Amino acid sequence: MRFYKIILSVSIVLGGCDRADRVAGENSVPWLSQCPDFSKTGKAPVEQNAQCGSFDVNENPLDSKSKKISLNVLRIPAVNPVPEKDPLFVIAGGPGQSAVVVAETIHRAFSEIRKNRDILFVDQRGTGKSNPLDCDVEEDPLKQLPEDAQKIMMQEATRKCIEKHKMSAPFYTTNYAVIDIDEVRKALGYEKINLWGGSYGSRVVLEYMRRYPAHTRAGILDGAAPVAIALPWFMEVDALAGLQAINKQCAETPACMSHYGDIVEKAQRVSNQLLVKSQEIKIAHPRTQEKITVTLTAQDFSGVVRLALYNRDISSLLPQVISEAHAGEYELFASLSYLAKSKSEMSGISYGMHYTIACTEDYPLYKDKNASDTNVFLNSNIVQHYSEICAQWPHASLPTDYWDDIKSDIPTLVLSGAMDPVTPPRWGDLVARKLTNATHVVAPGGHHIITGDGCISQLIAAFIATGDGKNIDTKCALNIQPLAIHLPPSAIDLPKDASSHKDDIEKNSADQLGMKGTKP
Amino acid sequence: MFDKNTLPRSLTVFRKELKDALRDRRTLRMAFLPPLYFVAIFVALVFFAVSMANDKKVAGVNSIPVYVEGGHNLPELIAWLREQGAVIHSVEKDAYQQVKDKKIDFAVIIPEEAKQKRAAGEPAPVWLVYDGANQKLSSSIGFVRAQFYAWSSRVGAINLMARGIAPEVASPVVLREDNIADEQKMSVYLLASVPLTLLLAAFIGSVGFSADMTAGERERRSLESLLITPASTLSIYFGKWLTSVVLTIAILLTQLLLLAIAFRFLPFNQLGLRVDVNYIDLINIFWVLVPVVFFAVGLQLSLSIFAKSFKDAQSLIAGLVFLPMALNFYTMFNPGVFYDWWLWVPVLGQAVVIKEILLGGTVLAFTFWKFWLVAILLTLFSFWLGIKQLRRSKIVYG
Amino acid sequence: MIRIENIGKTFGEKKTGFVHALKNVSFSLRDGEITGLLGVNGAGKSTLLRLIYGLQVPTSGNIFVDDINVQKNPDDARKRLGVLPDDTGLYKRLTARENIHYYGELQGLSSAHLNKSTNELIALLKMENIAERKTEGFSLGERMKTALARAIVHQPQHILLDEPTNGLDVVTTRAVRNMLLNLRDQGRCVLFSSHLMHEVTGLCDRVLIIAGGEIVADGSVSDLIKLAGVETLEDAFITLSEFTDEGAPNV
Repeated sequence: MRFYKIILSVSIVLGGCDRADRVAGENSVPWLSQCPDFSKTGKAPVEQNAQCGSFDVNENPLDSKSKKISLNVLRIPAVNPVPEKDPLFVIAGGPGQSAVVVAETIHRAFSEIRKNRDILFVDQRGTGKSNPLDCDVEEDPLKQLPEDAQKIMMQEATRKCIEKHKMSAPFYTTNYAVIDIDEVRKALGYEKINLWGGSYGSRVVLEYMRRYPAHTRAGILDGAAPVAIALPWFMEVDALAGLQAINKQCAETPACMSHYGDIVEKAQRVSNQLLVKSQEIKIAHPRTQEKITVTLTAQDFSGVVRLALYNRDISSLLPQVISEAHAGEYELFASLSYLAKSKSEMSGISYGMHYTIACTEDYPLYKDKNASDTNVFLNSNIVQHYSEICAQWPHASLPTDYWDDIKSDIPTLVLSGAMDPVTPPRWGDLVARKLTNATHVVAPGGHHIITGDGCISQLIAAFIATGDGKNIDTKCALNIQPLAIHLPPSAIDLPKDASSHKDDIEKNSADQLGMKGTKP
Repeated sequence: MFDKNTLPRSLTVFRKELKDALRDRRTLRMAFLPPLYFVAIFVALVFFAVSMANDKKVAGVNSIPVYVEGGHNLPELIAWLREQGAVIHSVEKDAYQQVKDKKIDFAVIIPEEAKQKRAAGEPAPVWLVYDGANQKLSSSIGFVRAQFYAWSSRVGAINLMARGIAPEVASPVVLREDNIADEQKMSVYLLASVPLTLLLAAFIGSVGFSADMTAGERERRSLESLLITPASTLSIYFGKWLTSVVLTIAILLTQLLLLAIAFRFLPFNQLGLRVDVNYIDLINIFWVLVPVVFFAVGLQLSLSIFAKSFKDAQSLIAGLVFLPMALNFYTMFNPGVFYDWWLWVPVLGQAVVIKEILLGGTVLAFTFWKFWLVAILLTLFSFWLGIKQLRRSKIVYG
Repeated sequence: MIRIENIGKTFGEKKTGFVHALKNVSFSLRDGEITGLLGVNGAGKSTLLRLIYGLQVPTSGNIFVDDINVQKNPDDARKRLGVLPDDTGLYKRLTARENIHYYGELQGLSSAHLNKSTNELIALLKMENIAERKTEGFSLGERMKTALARAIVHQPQHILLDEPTNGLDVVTTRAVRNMLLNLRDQGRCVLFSSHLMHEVTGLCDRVLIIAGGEIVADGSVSDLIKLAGVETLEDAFITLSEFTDEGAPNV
């Protein structure tokens, strides 16, 4: 019977329509494919359907004959098979951090957004796996060499770093990075994109908003670091403000005040003492309890305190660390210093790229000023350190309007932590002033980067969903209060002020319960 | 048995039966409403799940009411809960009794001793009191519990660091989990009922029509006259079979169309699930189901010939439902189990393949061959059975 | 021309005992004649008809329709038959015309032929007012006319009717009667079963009386009355039916 034959032949044709072909056809991005999984890398991909790939661009975008560099791209497709057309690009900070590496920890903060939008992580040129400008400038955590020898070693490392990257370095500034982002955007077929930038990443977002306003739907700046921040010119002032904020918090808590006193003053004294004479401290290794000897310098002290201020949890320990050091007990400081250094080894900053940014974009703003004026934070001399490197760093030119304020009416959400020791709210304010469609959210207890705190990721998701830069209900950010300062148990059992007893809603609880009781 | 007249006569029967069926509003309703009901229920369930997932949010921000007695004993913990999205309601006293009296859903009770124990460096006891039988609380309870663990481990880590010990020491093992099912595979929970209802539509969608064309013909005593015409038994049977097949396919297409619309517009992503079923998938599902329609209609007709009335026939064929139901439930409750020979088992094979297609898997063309082979054998068998019965005087005059 | 040769039909099984519905029946039906089949209930009238149109198979003997053996070639035989079975149902969701058309198509009529034939029958049976109505709710007479039209839409040479005027009103009965006479005059072979004596008297050229599974009398109405030595056909029927034990009296 012909009838059967027709049905059979049709079904076979259709049955052959393999799904795999279809997915490949739909994507139409030949350079993106399923990320390698556990069997190849020994760890799980960020998401099961994440796509990895590299996209080639010219190192000098104006010269099509210049060498090709490939940008490392990670795309986590939206959960919705018919996603919104505008994805979220996530830009890492540093400068010099790899967005793709950061993705592993940060992508969950964007899971609400991913329900409807693709999330993209692109290693900025010079970082991660996008032709990284790496330099071997790691310090020896145990400080076995004398200080002079270390200084010579660092200078040698810097010289090598410059030698290695001097031809490339001029093409790794922010203005080139945004061209890359736009090339990737085009290649993936997106008309408009949303951008999230953390710390230095916010500068990239701002630059993209300025150069490609037609392709920007919304921007999120977490820990705004506009070029006016002149990294690291204001670093010490801002770090000091951060420490003073902890001090103020302590002063407001009677138990803390009576236990630790004025920690800013104490810290300054400790620093000054260490400047005169460094300390050799024997401690039990924080993990193995083996006895080790750690050399502590004023440099270490300022470094540990500054790094601690980046972090909410460790900040709460600072009054104790400083107080004990002030009392001549350096053990806790020594072990924290040890922990901090072993952590920083993993941060994976590409220093060649880092200094290219800092020396080309920020250094011109302060190179003619007096560096010693900024030396206010525990003798850390950060500006001097950068100045020395930047003076030798290969020169690169930037567009003449690069340092102008960035004005825009693109919806923007600016996020700051009030306790941030490096990009405090004043930088967010500065940026927001020129953005006519922006809201600046300050979390009272937030430190550097607040996207992971409290309700912020939910606020971001709501903002991306509406694309409205003005009508954002930000009051939940006020629930992000500073963590209580760590006190030894004995100090806790003191009378507390009763301010935290208040109900979250205005009606009194009896009314609430009465109403509740009548409900079915 | 089969000659040049068979097909024209079959088409005559087909045309008449189709006209007859399309005028039978009641049976039409019975046949076409179930797909509509099913898709409506499916849509409602998805929306219900979505609203469950979002009901603790205000403008996208967590707002989870938490009743607390004795919050002043551990203010840092309360601050942490609030930061994470709890809306704290203080309860002055008797929180425990209030939970028991169902005046409040659940309560966190922080006794006086918590403060003292924390001061002594001992673990501070905190009570979470709830009624586990109230399922709608589980997300709130889960939230509070997770925040307790988070806060406890955070403060614990700070305590260790304050003693010069690395917090990692407290975690000798790090458990890393990797769910290899992506969001599309995870949607199995939501889509589990779809293959069953599609198979039911294919299997018994046109029961009413089949019964009317056989038992109904007997009941109204028109079978005898029909058999006196020179139309062969095969052509009559084939015409009736074709009618039910066409109607079932129309029912299936209706259901698939409704599903296509539902799949396109339902916010599965709100549940963190990806349902990516496009028209090619639906066409594939359709072709998986057509063989089922072929033999199921054959079985319907040859079974309902035995029934004396339309009603008898319906209840007789309704028994057929248990076949797809039982096989489907087996696959639903044994999701990991699969053997190659299942593809040879009618209905079971289709259930497995439809599930696979819905979850984004691939179907080999060879599978279709298996389905067709089995279906054609079964269809021929049902023809043989039906044709043998139709002219028996017991059937005509019984 | 229908030939019945030594037909016997037995129902039942060994266990329950046999019923001999027909015993060695033979006769021929001639074209251009209306033959009436008379018999009490259960005499075997319906069985005989069913054997002729092939829905039941004889236990012994042969039936030929124009020399076509019904058992061997039932579909061909049925093409030459128009049958109105006892108590036949219509498709209630189809109109009268659609009911008639369906059977015409099953008989393989071309559509032009079918339309012409249908229109003639509708006119002949005076069905114009009901032709386009769905048959649900039809009166008995309306149903019967439709069923009759349906049965003979293909203008068969042989027409078998099982109690066609049962329960019909006078007007309808008349229409049916005229129709049958009309068919006879066209030279067709008509067989109808009945137990209405006046109808048989008025219509039939020939009467067969069946009793106890046998043909007990065969002849014109007047022949039978003469044979039985009575006044009316009814009396003849009673008389002749009672003589079954002695075999059919030969006329």
